[in-house]
Amino acid sequence: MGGDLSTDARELLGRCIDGDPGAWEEFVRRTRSAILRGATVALRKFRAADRDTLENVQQQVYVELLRDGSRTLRTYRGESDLEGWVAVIAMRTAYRVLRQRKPEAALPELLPAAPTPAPGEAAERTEFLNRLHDAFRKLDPREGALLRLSYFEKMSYKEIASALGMPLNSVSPLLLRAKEKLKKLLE
Amino acid sequence: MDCLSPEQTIAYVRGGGVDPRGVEAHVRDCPACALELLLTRETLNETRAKAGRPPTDRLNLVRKPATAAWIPWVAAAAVLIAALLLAVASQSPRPPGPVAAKPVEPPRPRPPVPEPVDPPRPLPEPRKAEPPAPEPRPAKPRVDPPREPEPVQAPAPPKPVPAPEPKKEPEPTMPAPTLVEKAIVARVTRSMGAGAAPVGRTFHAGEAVTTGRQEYLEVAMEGYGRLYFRENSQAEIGSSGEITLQEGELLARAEPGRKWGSLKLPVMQVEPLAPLYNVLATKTSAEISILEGRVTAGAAVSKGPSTMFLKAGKAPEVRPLEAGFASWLPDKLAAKRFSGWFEAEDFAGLQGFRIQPTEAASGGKAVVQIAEQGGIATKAGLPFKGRHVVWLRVRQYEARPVLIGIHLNGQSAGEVKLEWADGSKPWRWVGPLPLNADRLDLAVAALSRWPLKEGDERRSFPVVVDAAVVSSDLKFSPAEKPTDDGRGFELGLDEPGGK
Repeated sequence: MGGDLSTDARELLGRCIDGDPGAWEEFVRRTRSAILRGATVALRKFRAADRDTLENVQQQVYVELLRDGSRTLRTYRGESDLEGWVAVIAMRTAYRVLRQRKPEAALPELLPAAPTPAPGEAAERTEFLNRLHDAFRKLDPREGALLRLSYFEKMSYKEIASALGMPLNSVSPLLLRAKEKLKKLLE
Repeated sequence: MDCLSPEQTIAYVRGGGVDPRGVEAHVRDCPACALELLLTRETLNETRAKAGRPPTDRLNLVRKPATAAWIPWVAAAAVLIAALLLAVASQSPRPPGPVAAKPVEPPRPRPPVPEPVDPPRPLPEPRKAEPPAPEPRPAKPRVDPPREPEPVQAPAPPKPVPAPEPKKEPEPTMPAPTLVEKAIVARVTRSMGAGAAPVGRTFHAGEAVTTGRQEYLEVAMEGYGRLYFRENSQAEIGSSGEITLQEGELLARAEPGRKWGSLKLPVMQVEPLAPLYNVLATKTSAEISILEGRVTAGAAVSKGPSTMFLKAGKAPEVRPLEAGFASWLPDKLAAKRFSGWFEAEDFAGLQGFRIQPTEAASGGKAVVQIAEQGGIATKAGLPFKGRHVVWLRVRQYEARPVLIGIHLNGQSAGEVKLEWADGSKPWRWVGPLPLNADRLDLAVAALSRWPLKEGDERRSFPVVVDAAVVSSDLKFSPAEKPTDDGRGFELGLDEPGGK
């Protein structure tokens, strides 16, 4: 997260926003690896690893970055490295694309099997992140699915009831219980 | 604390400038951000820890059947030998290749099947999804057939290869750089005609969408809306909702709350600030029809319902909208539902009426006020012929009954008596009035006139008319409470196929 690097990245993004075609090529060249890797995180969970999907996601990331007058691109403040930021955007975009394309797909496993510190991860935050990971793992599978579908995938109660095969009336109380349980596990 | 942005999640994981206590407190209450945080961590792992590895290796999601333990070692040996041979071969000078030429891969455990050396190529072949394999397992052997030329995403002219940086790990095998001009911007959702692009076909920014004789397309542009292409049309779609129509005819329908970008025509560029417009273009002329909103072409403005005519070398001309708006849509593409909002101040005939430019109760927008006995009228084409209902939004100013007469397509739809409501002056809807046609010819007449005061020559203005709504949904009922601007009403066509 060096200051020079982020300044350089912001300058590059500024030129992209201004429509400098050379800048965009440079941006694509610099970030395409990160985009693919970020998308891979989501693709793996949906077991959708074909090249078409990957390319589609890649395109959608660019569209996401540039739509509405480069709205997303403008949100980059240089507080993180450009590649990591783009990878996270790609991961989020891939989720959105895959949810649209595969609503009937089996629910993916959202979390990796074991917590692994990220490169450059601040040591003092590893403990909390590991606890977070363990907390999700300790949840009943249905509770985990409820939290994921409601909060992360933004499904309606009706959609959740249909996806998990439970009565519509049960969704709200179970979701509340799952949220409370997660909170307790994190205390 | 609000939900975490991508930068904040990254900053938290990496120890950057966010308040860790604030983040942790928020995450305890927000499962969405909790998951985002863990996924960000995983993504950063992917991005950095294995930066030198081709993502395609890790995309082998299908678990492969267990193989004998010796296979990876034999594979590693085989690949090592192959890599050494390649390394020797690479000592000789090579001609410059395309930017994304595949570099020599480092020795990695691979299956024993000899793999032909791939020629330099910008993209690997598409691969089908396979069950996930544990990371350390060797990649499934694959033999790439000779690469076929990309029909759509033809790369830009070859560029010189940048000088290879020393010590840099091999670039992963991945798609060639994709410029924004190639971003997928549209997808065919309905298709008619033998040669028309099939449903599901995607279009990239700047790529031509064409229809031949008796071919029709419906194309969805994510974030903008749908385009309906008439036969013998050719257009390009940009990633910012802009449309370049070289020739032919199309109907553009924006999603609620969205708006189209500029419309480039052979004669000139226009700005269609209308959620629904129909445009017919030739090399030397164009017609843009709108029901509501406006189209601007230079200094000329066409407010709906109207049609703007453009001709090379001539000033734009605005005419009333004729019947049969978008009636070219074939049945299978035509929307079977329609609701349109016609603002009263755009009505053509204002005999006996006057426009009140400031009307706070109507969001500061104009209304048409009955000045004396008289009438207002408007004409508009409707998207298809059939049964509709018409509603009028009116307001009464006098503490006594007021009569208005309504004519639809030359026939009386009856007189409506507006009773005074408890001393207040609420807006009210008058309707539904039946209409069976593909055009609207509406006239509203004031039948009551009252002296302003006893003995005063001047007349009071007992009624104002704000707008008319036409809907093909016979059960349509306007919202009791209008949106903030007093007129909010989504004009749109239903999903393809209609109901």
